[in-house]
Amino acid sequence: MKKPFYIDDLEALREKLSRAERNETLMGQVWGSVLRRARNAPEHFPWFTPFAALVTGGQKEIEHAKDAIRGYIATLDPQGFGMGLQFHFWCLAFPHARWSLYFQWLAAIGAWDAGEEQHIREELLIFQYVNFFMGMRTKPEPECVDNQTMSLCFSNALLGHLFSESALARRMKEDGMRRLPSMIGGLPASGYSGEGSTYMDGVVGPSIPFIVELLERATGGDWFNKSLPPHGGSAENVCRMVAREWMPNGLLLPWDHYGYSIPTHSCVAYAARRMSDPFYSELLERHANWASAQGIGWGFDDLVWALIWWPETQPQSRAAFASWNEPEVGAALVSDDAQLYAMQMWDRSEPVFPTRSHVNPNALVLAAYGSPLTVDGIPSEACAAFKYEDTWREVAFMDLGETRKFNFGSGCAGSHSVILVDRWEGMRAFGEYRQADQLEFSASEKSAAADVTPIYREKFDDARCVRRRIRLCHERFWLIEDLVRFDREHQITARFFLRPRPVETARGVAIETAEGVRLWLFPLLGPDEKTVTLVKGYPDRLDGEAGESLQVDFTQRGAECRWLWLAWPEATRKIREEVSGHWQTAPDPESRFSFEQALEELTAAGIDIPLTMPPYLQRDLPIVRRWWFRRSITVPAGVASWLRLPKDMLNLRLWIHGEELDISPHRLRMKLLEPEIALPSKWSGQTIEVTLCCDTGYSQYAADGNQSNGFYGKPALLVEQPAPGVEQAEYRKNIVTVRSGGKEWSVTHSLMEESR
Amino acid sequence: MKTVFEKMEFCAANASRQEEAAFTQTLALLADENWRVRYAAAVALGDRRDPRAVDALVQALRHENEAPLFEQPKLPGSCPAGCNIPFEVIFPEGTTEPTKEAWRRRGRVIQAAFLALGSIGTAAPGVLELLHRYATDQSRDYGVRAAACKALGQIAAPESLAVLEKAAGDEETCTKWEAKKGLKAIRG
Repeated sequence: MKKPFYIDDLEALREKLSRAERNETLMGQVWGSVLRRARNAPEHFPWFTPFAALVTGGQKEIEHAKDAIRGYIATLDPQGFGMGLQFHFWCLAFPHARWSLYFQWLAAIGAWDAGEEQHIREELLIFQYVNFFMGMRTKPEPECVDNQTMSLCFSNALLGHLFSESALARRMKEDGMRRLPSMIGGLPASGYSGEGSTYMDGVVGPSIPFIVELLERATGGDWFNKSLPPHGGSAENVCRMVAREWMPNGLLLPWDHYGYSIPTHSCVAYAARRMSDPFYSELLERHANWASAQGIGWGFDDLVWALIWWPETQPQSRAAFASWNEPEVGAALVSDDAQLYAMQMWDRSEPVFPTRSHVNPNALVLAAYGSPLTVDGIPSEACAAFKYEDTWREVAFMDLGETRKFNFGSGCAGSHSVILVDRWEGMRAFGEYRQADQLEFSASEKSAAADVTPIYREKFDDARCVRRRIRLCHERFWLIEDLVRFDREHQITARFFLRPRPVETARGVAIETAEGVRLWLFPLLGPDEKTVTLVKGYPDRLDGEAGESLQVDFTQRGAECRWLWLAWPEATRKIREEVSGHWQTAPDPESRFSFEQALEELTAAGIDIPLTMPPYLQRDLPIVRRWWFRRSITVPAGVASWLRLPKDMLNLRLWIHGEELDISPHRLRMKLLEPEIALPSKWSGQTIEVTLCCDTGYSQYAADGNQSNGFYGKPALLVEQPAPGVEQAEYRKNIVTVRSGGKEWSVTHSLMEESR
Repeated sequence: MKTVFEKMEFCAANASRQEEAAFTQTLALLADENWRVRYAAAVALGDRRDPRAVDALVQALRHENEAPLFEQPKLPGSCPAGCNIPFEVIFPEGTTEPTKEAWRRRGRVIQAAFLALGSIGTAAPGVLELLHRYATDQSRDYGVRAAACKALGQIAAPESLAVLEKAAGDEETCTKWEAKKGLKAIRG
């Protein structure tokens, strides 16, 4: 009997998970949540069923897994008529590889009869050959190195390896294996593919363990640490970059395409297995959202692979979020307590059509006290912004019999927190050249700077210097410095995209986020001439009904333009008390309880559970979409208060003593952030009964929006805290002085010059 | 050798064998009624690089050209990538099984035949004409256009320069890159 591929020692895996369950470790809880879903709702969690079958060996679990694979096989023929298979074949290649792998797992434990085993193997191989072998041959070798080609090469190599008794399989393996190392080696040495955090975290990163482990099993040696041709990329560097994209507030950087999102787990688990840096285990054990079971590589088995790679042995030491630097792409400055986070990016953008690799020369991401302050990403479909005259494109190769006309302006400079020249918002590169150079990074001084002149010089031949530097000073505030120098006069705009809502201020601009975090941003040097525009629909997430942000344009005219900005963050709320424990809960299987019925059910059900993730992830409870919760909370007297709830509670409704509060302003934002719901002052000082109703992800292919992602977080009661703002700030004689709340900070700051 | 899988296996297993019987059999399979077998045969003939296969490949291409490969409208019925929930596609009334088979294969056999012709590398009569026509035909899928450009680069005939120059301006990246490589191969 063959071994289940990738699982070298099935008994050891079984023992690891069994021990974790017995010892009630986090790994044990995650395994329990996966197994319950596979057992109790296999039709809703098909991607968990082969793993459950393999680990338990139970007949019921094996039958569930076989049914899942039979279901997949039944989709193959109709898929042939869809534009997905015809034009986006790589999206189907990666999941096809894993369904084939899971078929092999079941074969390894003798789950199939000979006839069915042969039939399914042939179906899988034929489909692979005429679709994904074809797809791989469409992608030019060696030029194509991206997530699409990676998916295609991997699927051919894996099926070729799994079914090597077949000549078709061996043919696919030959080409797939030949190209596979260059899929890693063709990535930049930084580990950043340029496609954005979402693709890094959802496709490139999770591919790495599959590829490395396949190469090591098929050819021997170490494929994790070594830099590979043609560009020196390595699996290790990709994993490191995936982890670096995690922000301390639990979100991925809104780098390039898509914007803020929730991280996946499996790549970090693999990094924890292969590297000694305790940071990866820290992410898994203390920062990961384990109610999120989103897709990796167009399939929903992220948690399965996280459990497989997750090392049982914990590192001796803990690791905090730390500043990092990748000279080719960007740097992050993190305060010692991880409350203040800044990232400056200067990664290459795609010339001509910057679809995913956006034009973001020296763009900034700022976050404080858990709250994102700046935004980046993509607009909603209804968003009217960024449709610049010179950024329209029409293509005919993406769809059946149709052309698509779209505007790629949201990938250009105008939709980023960068310097614009003469208001050219569609700014982008047209040729291949080095677009930026890092000037400075100091982890101890917490400063970073980069020169991005070349991408401006391509259009403006008199450009001499476009530079930005950011510093985290006294672990308390940021200084941002811009230097723009041309031979001739130009209108220079320093554009920032900030979260709403604006707060009145005498200098610059100020905002207060929905989480009560304020940011003052104003020039200590350079003019304070500005416009502030509300952009509806950008980004397509977080605030407003369909996303919104503030576009802040500071402008000046000249051949040499400078700004030195103070960016001062401040939290206006603090946690008074955690209230995550002891919530009465009741499932609402048909999603139709009235409030009154729900109260009866809450009493009758007698279930007491922490409101941190869906109940069925914590205990053997029904896997249903709608849940009700109730708990008493004492509201502090005399201060404004908020109730923080877990993120991603779908269709949340909230009652206090039977009186419903309007939650709609939080609807979009709470997909990513824990909502903080203001408690009406009339309840001040009283013990209130809070009743909640929400939907949660209950199925990997649910049509109602949340698939299998559950809500996640720690409910808490927050109260206001003093936020004095900036009382005085100035830049004189190379010293920045800031006064706030009776305290004063000063820092020496020498301005950047054109020479290094 | 009865089933589609067995025939495809035969093609792949014998691609690098020099036996005449295997070659003859693979040529015959290039005209098999099932396009999956024809696809496997075309791949195998490309791997074998025997110039005697060129006429059969050109004939297979002409046969493909007669099929309604690229006429499929957008059809109701789909599921996400990797989904295991069976679904049905709703076809326009009167859609025949041969038409469905044509829609299923779109440019696959053409791509395999082009890559085989490129691999063989012979500018036989009819070959360049076909490749030139497909390399810039925007009604064909990019997998077909890119394969035509790749083959033209491998054949490297100077008369392909104009076509490849045009294809080098294709909006689609794979086609553009293969055309640029083709130009480089011809110009040296």
